[in-house]
Amino acid sequence: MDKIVRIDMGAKGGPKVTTEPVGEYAGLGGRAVTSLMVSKEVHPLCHPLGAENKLVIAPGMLSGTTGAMTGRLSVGCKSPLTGTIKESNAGGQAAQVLARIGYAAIVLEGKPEGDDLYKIHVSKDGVKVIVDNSLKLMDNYPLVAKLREEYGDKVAYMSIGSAGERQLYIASIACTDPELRPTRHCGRGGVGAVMGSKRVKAIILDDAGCKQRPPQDPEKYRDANRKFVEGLRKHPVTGEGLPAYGTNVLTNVLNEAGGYPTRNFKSGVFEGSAKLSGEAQAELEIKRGGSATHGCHRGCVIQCSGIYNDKDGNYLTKQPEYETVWSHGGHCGIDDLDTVAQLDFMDDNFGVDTIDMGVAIGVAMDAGLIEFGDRAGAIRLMEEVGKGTPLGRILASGADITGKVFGVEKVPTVKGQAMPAYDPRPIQGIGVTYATTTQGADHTAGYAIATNILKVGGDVDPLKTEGQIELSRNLQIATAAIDSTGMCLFIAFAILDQPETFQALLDMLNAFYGTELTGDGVVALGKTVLSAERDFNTRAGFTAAHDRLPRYFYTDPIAPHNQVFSMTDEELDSVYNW
Amino acid sequence: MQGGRSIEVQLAPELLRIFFPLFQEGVEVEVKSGCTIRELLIEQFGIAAEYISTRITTVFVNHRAVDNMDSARIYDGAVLALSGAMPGLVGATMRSGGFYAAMRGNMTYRNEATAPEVKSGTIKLKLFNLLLPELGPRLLSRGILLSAARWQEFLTQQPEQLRVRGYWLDGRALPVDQLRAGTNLPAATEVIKLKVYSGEEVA
Repeated sequence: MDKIVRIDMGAKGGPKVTTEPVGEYAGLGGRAVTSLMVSKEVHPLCHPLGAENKLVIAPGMLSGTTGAMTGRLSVGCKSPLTGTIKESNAGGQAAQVLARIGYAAIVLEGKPEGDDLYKIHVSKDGVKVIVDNSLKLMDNYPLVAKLREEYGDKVAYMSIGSAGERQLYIASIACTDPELRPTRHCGRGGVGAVMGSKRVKAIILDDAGCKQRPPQDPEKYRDANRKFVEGLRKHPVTGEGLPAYGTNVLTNVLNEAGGYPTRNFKSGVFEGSAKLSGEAQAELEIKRGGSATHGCHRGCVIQCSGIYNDKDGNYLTKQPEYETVWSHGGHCGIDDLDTVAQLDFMDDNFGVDTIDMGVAIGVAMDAGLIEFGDRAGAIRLMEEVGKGTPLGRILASGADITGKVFGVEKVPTVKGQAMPAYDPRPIQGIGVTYATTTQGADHTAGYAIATNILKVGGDVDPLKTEGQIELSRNLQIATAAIDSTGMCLFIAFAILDQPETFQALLDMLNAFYGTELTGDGVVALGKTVLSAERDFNTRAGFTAAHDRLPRYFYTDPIAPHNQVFSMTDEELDSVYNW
Repeated sequence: MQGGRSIEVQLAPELLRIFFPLFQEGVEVEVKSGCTIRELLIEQFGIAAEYISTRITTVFVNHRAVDNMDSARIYDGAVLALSGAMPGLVGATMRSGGFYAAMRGNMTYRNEATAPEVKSGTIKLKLFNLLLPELGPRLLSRGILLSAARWQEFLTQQPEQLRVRGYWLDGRALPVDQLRAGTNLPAATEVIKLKVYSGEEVA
């Protein structure tokens, strides 16, 4: 990963490819590369779909190596959905393959004139940008099938569906999994719309003739990786819970906690939750000949995904994640896994963010467009998205715009992005993160539950109220750092409880790069990334007033705990004091 | 809910999982209230102390997360939910005595001002995720309370090839085909105490 390739899609005479040394981004990866580059190079007041925006695609620090869990790919830009800086990441094979080819980043710049649609082929022999108008308005599954006829099965594909091509604000970028299904998505913030604005339909990553990236100290790297894998396998979350049930194991627990947002955040308990649970989902997947245990990329030892077959035993979609099952399920009053799975497939196929899409449908239900619980109606609304009708375009512009168009007062968004599957009234700490993250409402922005090991900001007394501000701050710093390594965030559970596993992660980084990174260094990296993102947002016009939840979260208590969000503005404003 | 009639069923061990959805919804179980959660689990349910410490990491009473199983007491009519370790920030937040307990604010369980009465009663028990296969068989053999209507509904949801090895109604052995046929079942409004055996219960 010693070079960066820039593709000026708007160059006179057609797209122009230039390659440059990695320079100041050497030794960085993932979110660190995307956010530092976007903050430095993109005009903060540019239109996200204009020529001045850039789409930065970066593998993680250890992607393309033999290390476990190293397959996250970061995509960054100015978000059309939020207007803020955006980093959206996904699993799949793309990060591993791109890193092996040797690129620390692909940067799509400019904007072509005219209607031509492009595909980009990246290999050890260079980068080719090819006009292919036969791909126009294809959705991800048929698109990848068509590309496979030309490029075969020993590559990784990144692509946008019809939603990205239409530049809809919640459009995603799909990355293929080991079976070459377009199931892993950089989903949040409309990064697919930015790729669509550059008129790039697909990127084919071909690592034929490339080898694994060699560590500086192969023996130490192998040893550290072995200890890291042991730590993941022995931990009950990463070694048992996630492989058996996937992330949807959370449905029952969130519902029991009264924090499961139901029918557009009107209650914290959904009576149909047991039918949607990870336990029920795993049972059904196994019974139908699918699988409840599957990795999204090679080298994954957690295997939190699965294969969801239909009633006849035919592949329908990958195992829907907890957030998807919630957004299309409880949020919409739907308690049927087959309906959720069908909607998940449509999300992946059209190329939209499952969270914002499901929340938008729930908001439309609240507006009376269809009834809560209307399974067929929800699928009909998704079909509108696929057809690109005016209604479909509104819905795929996200929950925020859907709420405005249909006159809905209570829309669960922050900075234009839909809240995920955790109500911030009973779980106040996550509300702090929703309000203050640089990314718009995002649960993964404060996900890296390893702050007690990192000692970010010192020890926190969890019994004090102000601990929630401290924790959110520390979680956001730790998450920014892990996003930069390109490691799957789910490693956080093992490194939270097992200091030796965290040390193994540091040892992997140090053995690979020949560095002496410590926990303090990880914290510093997280702060650097967050500071760059905050700086971009400030220059883009965001102020403290944007770091708030919608007003009704402060005034409308939610059952069963009958709580409102009670953090003060002063407390929220102190999150970034470090 | 107090059990008047009794049904006992013996079936192949691999079929016990068909009862797990009932535990996710919650089943009534007979208990002696007034004790702590740990006492309930050890002394009444017969669960090993080490298992409780290492596997039951998330506990709710009446939708509130429990930090200390030695001080939280069981009231008649309570809803008790038990779970293994959960992923995600919120999963960590709900963990008993976990580092992130502050993030759940006021939704932490606290005993009522009045101590619970020590008496025979019932609670609604829920089991989630890894605890379903690990604790479900033990609790099924101990007995759960169901309305006869829910039991009949449950039977109709099962596949035709349900392989029942033994069937007893009010202690009297009956032909297993009567279970599937629904012959002699209690009236829908009655409460039954259901015990399920596989022959391989946790000791």
